[in-house]
Amino acid sequence: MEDKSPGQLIEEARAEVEEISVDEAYRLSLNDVPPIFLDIREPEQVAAGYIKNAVFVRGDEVEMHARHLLPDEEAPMLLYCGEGVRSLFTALTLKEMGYKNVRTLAGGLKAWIEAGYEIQSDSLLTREQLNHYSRQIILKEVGIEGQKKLLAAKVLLVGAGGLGSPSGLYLAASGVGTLGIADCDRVAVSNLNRQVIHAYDNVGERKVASALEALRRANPEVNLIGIDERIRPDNVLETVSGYDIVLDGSDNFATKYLLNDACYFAGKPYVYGGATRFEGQASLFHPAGGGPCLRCIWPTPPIDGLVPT
Amino acid sequence: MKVTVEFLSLPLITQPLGKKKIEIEFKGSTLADLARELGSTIKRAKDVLLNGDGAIDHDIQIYINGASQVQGEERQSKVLGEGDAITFMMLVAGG
Repeated sequence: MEDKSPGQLIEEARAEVEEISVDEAYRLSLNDVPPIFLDIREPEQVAAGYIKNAVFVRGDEVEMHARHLLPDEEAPMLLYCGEGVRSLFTALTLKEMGYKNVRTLAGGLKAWIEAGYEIQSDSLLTREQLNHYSRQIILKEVGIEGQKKLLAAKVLLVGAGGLGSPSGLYLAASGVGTLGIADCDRVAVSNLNRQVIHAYDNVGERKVASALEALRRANPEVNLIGIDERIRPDNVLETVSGYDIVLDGSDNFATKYLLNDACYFAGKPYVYGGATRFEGQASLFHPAGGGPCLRCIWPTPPIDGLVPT
Repeated sequence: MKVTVEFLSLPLITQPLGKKKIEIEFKGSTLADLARELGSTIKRAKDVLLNGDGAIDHDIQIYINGASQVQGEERQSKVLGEGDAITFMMLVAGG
């Protein structure tokens, strides 16, 4: 059988996939419910500019991520690439997967720009950042806008223990811009089974120093701030004031209630966490956003001794 | 009346009990009646779950059939229905 030329393959794809003009695509983008603009280009191309509100997934990864990103097979979507060719083949893949309303942008982003339509570019995100965070940027719940928010966010993490370890590592890895970590303890051997931010070599060190070392390894671009002291009534308000949100991984009710109270007065969201044995509790308290605070539900800390930590 | 009771983050009760969820039959129909039955039949429940007056201690949150917590006077007077699922939950501090 004779191999088909690239031109023949493109023509065959065009026969299967509907292409629409950039003018029509622009008109659709203004609808109350616009189609999903799916940008299938490489991260470095995306960095140079993209259509507003686009969802990103590399063309060669569309089979892997489509079911999560695009759960509705009926939803109208408009694929685009640089010049409108690769998107044809990705559209074919999506149609074979069962997506019923797939079209492509004729001429791709090049035609869109030449027609004078606006693109967005992200001076905040470098090519390296787009690559680093690409697996979460492709999630529609995050996207480039979400990543920019993460990079600008200032998070205070209290406790570098069982809750603080994974929380801190994930926050740093995901690209939170500033991460403060507070603890006043030293690393003990018995911590290591669960406090995974610390390693055997860190036993005896201050937990904050050990955590900062691990967080720096996880993501050197995060602005890390170590707070090697206990959170107390006389320093809590000043400590939380420099952050957007407080994540509580402390191991005692006194600190938890102190953080709740400080966040209440400072108008900051307070993320509660508590764990014992195989059970855990997590909750977001944000009275300034209209919700309750911890004391609205539990007015006072439980009596010592009734709850093992 | 027969209801299901679940204890969350209450290891001082669930460890000796060996499970977190039980079916229990009790005389009466209110939360106060259920509390009385739990206090007399479940080991450590009297110390952990109840206050000096025999009511559910204010440190314990109460949910009925997964709905919002029961508050105020209803923590005693709330009338339960046959087959209801009651959850008692304690705040956890471990970090």
